[in-house]
Amino acid sequence: MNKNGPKNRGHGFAMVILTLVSAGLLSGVLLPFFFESQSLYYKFGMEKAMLQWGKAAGFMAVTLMVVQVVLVSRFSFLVTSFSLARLLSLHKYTGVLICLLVMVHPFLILGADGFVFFPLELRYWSEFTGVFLAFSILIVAGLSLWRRALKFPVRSWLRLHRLATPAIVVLALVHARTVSETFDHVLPGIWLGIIAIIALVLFARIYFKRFSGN
Amino acid sequence: MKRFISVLIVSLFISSPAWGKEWTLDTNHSLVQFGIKHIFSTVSGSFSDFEGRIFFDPENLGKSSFDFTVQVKSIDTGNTKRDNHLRSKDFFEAATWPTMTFKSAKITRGQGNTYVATGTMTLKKTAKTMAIPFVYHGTAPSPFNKKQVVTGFDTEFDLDRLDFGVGNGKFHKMGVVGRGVRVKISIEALDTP
Repeated sequence: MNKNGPKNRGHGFAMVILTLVSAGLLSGVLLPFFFESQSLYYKFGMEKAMLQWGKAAGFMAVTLMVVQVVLVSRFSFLVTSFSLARLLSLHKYTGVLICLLVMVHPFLILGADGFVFFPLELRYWSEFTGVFLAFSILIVAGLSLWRRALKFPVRSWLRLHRLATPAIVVLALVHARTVSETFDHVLPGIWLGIIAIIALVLFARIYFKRFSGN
Repeated sequence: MKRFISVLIVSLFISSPAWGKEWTLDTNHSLVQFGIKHIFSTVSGSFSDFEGRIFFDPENLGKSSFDFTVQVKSIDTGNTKRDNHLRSKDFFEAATWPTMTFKSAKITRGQGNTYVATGTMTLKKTAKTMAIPFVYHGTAPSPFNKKQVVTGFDTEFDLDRLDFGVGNGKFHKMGVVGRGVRVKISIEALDTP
């Protein structure tokens, strides 16, 4: 009983984290349906569904980016419960899922307006941040998946991955907050705030551990 | 030499078909604005990208004309999402119909300093004859450059957006977006050297 205690506690923690991640993902998907932005008032039928699911895909991608940070944080209870290899494998597949969502997101959002693209003006900075983000995510993920085939040196890839991913998560949070009126509502605003705090704390923990040599 | 001079004269005739006094539109000090009802409030906006050829001489209206082109995608109502919606097929279909134009055919004098420009307004695939009243403010030397002369015009008129196919009436029937659009155009132009 005593011998298995810490392992059981580890499983318990892992279950709590999994439940929180699932709740985070589910709430991300549901946000555009329960907290409509004004842009949805002017859409009907298929166009409304495209805009809602486009937003949901974006929110889900942002949530999964934070989940990615959890997966590489090497929490002992997660490593004990799932093993590091499984966590890193899950990190890889979650990355692929994020890429799919990142491709679907603009397709649905722009499709709802008949693929009218924004003019190249400063006031559309938030939308263009999204375009920059999408390309950055696809490049970082593509480099990770096909690093060997591309003969990209492992140390350079790791350095790039570690530098680019925190910037991507921060930009994704900024993009979500500034582009979507959904976060003007109190509850979605709190949801995004929590996600942002979790991401920043986890990144700080990772960098602190790396530089302190722990 | 004679041949050169005659070619020059012919080219001048060709390049200035109205052959009146040509003014250069000062786009930095000219505005194309509009207002439209949204339930109760009036949403205002403007088009920042437009150009025009102005030939105007109050003493020679027969040789005066206005020819304006507005780039629809430059619409700005202070809300980026609304602007993109206005560019979409629900309203302007800016990708298919990128410009709206007004080309005057006749200018007549009204009372005082008012005039009426009658011409063709083309928006999307609809071209309609419209008579647009305007005020001519006369001319004055530029306070910045006494050698340059400035002129000014102002107009306000209404048009029915549904007459031009800007929207299919869905939002009007819902009581959300009005069909009448108040257009305000304020122009400053400089004499062409």
